Amino acid sequence: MNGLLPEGVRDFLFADTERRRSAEERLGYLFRRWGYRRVQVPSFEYLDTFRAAAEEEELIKFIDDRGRILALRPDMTPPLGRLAAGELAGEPRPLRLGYAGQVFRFHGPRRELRQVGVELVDYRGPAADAEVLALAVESLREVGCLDFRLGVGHLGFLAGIFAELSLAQPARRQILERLSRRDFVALEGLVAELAPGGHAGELLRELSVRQDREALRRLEGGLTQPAARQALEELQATFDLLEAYGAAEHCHLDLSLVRDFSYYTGLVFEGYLPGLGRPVLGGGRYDGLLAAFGQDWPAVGFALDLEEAVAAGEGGGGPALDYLLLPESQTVREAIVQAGELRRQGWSVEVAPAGLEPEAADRLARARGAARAVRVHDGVSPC
Amino acid sequence: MLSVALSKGKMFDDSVQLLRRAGLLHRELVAESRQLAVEDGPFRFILARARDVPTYVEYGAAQLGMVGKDVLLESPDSGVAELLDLGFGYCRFVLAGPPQARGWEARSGKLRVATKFPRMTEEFLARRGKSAQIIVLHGSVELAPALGLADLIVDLVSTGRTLRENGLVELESLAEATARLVANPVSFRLRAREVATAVAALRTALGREGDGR
Repeated sequence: MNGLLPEGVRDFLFADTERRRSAEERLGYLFRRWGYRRVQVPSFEYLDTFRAAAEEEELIKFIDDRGRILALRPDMTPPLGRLAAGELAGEPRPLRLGYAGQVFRFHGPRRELRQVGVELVDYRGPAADAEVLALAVESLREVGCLDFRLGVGHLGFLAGIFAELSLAQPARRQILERLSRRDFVALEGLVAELAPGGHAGELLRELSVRQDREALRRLEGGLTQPAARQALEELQATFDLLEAYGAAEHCHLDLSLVRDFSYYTGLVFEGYLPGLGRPVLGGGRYDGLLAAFGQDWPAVGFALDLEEAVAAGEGGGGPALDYLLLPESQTVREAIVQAGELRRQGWSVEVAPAGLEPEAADRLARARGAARAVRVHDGVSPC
Repeated sequence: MLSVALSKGKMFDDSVQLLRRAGLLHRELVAESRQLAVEDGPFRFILARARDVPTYVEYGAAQLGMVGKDVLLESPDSGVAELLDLGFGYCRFVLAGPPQARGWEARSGKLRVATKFPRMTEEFLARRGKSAQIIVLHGSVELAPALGLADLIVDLVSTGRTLRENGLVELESLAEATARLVANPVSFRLRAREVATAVAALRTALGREGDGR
């Protein structure tokens, strides 16, 4: 015995373990406040459960005592889908599920990761999409990430563009595959070869251009195909709701985002942290997956990479401070009243000296590890 | 500050020239220099071995990189985003052998193929449904057939002169490669504006329409 570990797995010692536990606990409470109930599913199941969601060569497989093929779960969504469509099929819907658990990969530098996430089952449309996106934003704040961004795309938009250009299935796959690999050079070559005309062709060529909400409105104007228009309208409505959630500032439109497109059908998103080469969080809508388990229910969810999120989060397992209130000299009273209200709700709150310059306020928010810094204007409530 | 990893070696001079034409580089940059990181305005240029550039960019040690597609093909799991074809550094992967190796696919018995690029070679042979023993060398691959080390080789050529000088002929072309601008998949979304500005400048310098990507 050499006491070594295989590639891709690691031990976590005291401080790391403590930070992970505390972050996971905070996320558990957060999910509960949003009405998501925790479940636990097995680490391995029949290979069949994962067929719709993963390439077979990506799974760690083994054989049971009756010769049936089992696999370690590569991702939590298929087992949660199986549970929602089976055991929990009688529960009132929409069904909100939360989880935390290990997932396993056959290849790569990290072969065991702990994911924390949610699934929102049998709920369609911008209200559902925005809820899950906002909860993703809230989750990153909860573990102390301050400087992060969510890229938000929509596979329905691409499907609409493909339909508008009457592209055949192989060409569609090729385009998605290049987008998934982020190979824009090959995409450009492929698009030049297919030479699509008109507004849709132009959109396809410009896919990797960074887009904002104004671009979204502009794009909408030139589209004739209902699916692409509908996708853009949905995104527009989702972003409107994200403003109400106070999450819009972190969400950025990126129509070139497709993720691993194997089971996503609509909204897709990824969370990015500075200095981290991989997304820290990912999710989207998968309206076809539950059909594999016998229920034709739409669903949307996300999973957060606990280890990376905790490593990036300032202030350990959670924000040191939930709210930093920044009053003007004439709103000090209001700030005190709001602080009291927030504290009664269980948040930690600090009221900064009145009239801080934006730079000084930023410095203070960072130094305190505050999850949110909120200016208190006349008559505007942060709650 | 955006860090840009540049490949030392055959592509270095072209990379530097392009950066100058694009107005992104003003300072002196020498491949043989012992100073391996040079700051210039909003950029830091990092001089690296070509094969290390995808790794630097993958882990976010550099946000951008300039590297040959040949190197990217040998490290396909790096997950970097390819943003631009830079046009220079053209080369091809070829399968080559002595003239009598023509008709190699029909031959029976197990082939031995020498190469510096085991991934490319394995993938190509798998596509053809031929099993072969791949012999990995780190240089002078062209010598392998003459020394009886291998029946065929897979190597990079730009003009084909080295092949001819060693009495080898090209049997198949596997892939073509030119230099690419690559980006860390997170940086190019998180720092979209800075990356887009640099890409637009490079596009203009390459004489293609500035489509703002």
